[in-house]
Amino acid sequence: MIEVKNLSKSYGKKEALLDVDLALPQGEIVGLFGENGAGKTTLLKCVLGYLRHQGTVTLDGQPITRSNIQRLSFATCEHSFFPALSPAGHRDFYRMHFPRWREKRFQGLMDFFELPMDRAAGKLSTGQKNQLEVILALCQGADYILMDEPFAGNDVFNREDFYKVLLGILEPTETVLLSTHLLEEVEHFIGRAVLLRQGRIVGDVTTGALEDSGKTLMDYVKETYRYRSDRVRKALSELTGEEEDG
Amino acid sequence: MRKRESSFSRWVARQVPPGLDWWTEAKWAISGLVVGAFWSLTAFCYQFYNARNRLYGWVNEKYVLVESRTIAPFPELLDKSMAVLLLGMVLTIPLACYHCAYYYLGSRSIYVMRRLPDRWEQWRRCLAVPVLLAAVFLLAIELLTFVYFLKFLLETPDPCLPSDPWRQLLYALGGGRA
Repeated sequence: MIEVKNLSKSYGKKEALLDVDLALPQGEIVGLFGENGAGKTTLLKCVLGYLRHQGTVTLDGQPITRSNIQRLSFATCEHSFFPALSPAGHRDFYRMHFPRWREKRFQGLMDFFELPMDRAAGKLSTGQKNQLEVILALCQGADYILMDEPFAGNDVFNREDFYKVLLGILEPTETVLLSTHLLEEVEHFIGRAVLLRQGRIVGDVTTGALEDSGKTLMDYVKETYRYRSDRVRKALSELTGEEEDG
Repeated sequence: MRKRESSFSRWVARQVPPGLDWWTEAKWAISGLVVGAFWSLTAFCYQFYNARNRLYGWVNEKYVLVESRTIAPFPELLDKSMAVLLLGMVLTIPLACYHCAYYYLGSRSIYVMRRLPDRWEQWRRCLAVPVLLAAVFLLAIELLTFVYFLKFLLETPDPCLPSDPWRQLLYALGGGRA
């Protein structure tokens, strides 16, 4: 289990995360939601140890160091592949360094998405780059797969396919923490939703609990964020000078 | 036909950041070595033969060796003969910087490097080739210095050799110049 306790991170005077507590047991697919600047990416990077922070992050009770960080993988919209290296080159590199590399899964996903094995990753299309990024994260052999907006730039069909494949291939011990804006798309693929707002966790709910209460994830998010449904109408009426109806 | 990778090229590829075009770097390094060695030889020969000519003089209308003269010290003859090789050695510093920056170019592959179980892998791939090249350039400098010294020793008339030539060699090998 990944446990985050009292995690705080600031950039200068701006607090990006404030006293975040979060537990991620093995085997969950968790959606991490929040508006731009809510701290989603910062949280993921702090968990991975890429950013200095206050508070603790542990993996099965141990701090995350070189000895256990291979149990975590990361797919990011910034991309973390080597641009000049082909997918085949990545396979060789990962196989050499990550003992739990999933060869069969890699081959299967490469075939499924019809990615060229010998073209440099940097020369793939945006969609293909995202696919390769996620494939590598899924095949590293990690127990915890952290994804930060991995499908930015992919079309809806592509994303849909990916969610289905993801659900189909994940083993019960594999955990996915997926940061995304695409609430409605992932609603049926996640088991739990964590909401961040201005660096704080403002909501943490299982989709089972949501179903029981008859709410959709979007309802829950709007409610938690105290979304004012009339703000668009008000803004438009102010901008156009027209009177509001009723 | 697909080019077959030799075990050597596979080995070198493991010493540089993944996907880096090490062959281009190798070509530049080899060119630097060849140009540096050629420049060095030309510069040393120019200095040496000039110095040796100064050992001769006109005596009774004959151009003869003046045994009372001593050839210029060996380190002085080296002058700037190693400049290009030294420049090549210095250029391994920006090369190392480029290797380190490679993980931030075009993507953030640094994220993968920081997840590797072997903490030294990233630094090894940044520094191995620059350090190796610096060592090769240094070795070339020392080797050429020794070869030039042998030339200095063998081609300088005995009476005109300095009293402590080997000490001058050690001084030159240590990087000392006149």
